[in-house]
Amino acid sequence: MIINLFKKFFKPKDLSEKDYDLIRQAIKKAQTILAKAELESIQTVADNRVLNRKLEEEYEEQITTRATEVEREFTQFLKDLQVRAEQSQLLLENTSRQKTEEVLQRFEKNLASFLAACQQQGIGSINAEVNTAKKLIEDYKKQRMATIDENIADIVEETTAKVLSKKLSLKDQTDLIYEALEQAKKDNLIS
Amino acid sequence: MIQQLINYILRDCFTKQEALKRLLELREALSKQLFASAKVNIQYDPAFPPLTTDNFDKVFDETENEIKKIPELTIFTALELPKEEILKLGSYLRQNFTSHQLMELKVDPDLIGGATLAWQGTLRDYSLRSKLKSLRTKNQ
Repeated sequence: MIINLFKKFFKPKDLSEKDYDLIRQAIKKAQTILAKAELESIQTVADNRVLNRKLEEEYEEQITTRATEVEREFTQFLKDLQVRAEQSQLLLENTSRQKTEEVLQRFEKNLASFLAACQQQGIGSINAEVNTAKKLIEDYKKQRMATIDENIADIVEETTAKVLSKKLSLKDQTDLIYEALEQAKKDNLIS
Repeated sequence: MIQQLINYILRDCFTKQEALKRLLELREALSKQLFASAKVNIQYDPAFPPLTTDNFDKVFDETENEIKKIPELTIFTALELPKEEILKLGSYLRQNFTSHQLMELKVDPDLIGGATLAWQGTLRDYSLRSKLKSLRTKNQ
């Protein structure tokens, strides 16, 4: 095949028999090298296969060992974690209880103070309300008395007017008219 | 002449209404006598000059206007006065105020007694009602 290729690219009249011999030798050598390479490659591949298998077995063994170790360590870790969590929970419970008690005590104290203050304020407010109410009652009393006085005065005035109207004679009336005119004269009403 | 006629009318008239009524009555009476009977003049009082057909209307018209101009004192009383008391009151006003003083009488029973006087826009209350009110104000 190589010779054919060679012939394809080079014209036959250019080459001699010697050249062809050389080429044949080269080709033969190349083939030998190729065969050797092929053999070596097969050998290498076989060796590699064995090695791979060996490595696989070693790897598997190590993986198994390591997995077992990791499992053991993880289990231990979980156990430790559980212990620590329990300890933390206990500590948290104690702390919460303590804090709650403190808060409740403070609250109780503040509530007592607040109630005392409210009571005081309440008494003060009640006193103020009572005083205000007393003043209102007093004012109302005065107002009512004034109204009653007014009413009494109205009644007296009305009664007096009615009595006088009936009791005054014609002479009394004319005397009063002249009295009015005398007063008008003194006052210089008609000038 | 007009003043004489006014004096004549107001002799026994104390209210403007009366005075104008008296004037009208006199005018009608004299007019009949003067114009109906073809007289040339007429006397309503011997003390005063006679009226002629020429001045008759003028005199009466002017007299009426003058009487209307006379200011009147409005007197509010608690009761209606009889005629004789009105005459006495009128005389009293002529003696104590002006010689031609005219009055207008009105009744207000709420005054109780005395009088309220109104003169040219001024009102003065001298009634018993006013006195009672002032007593009440004083006592309050």
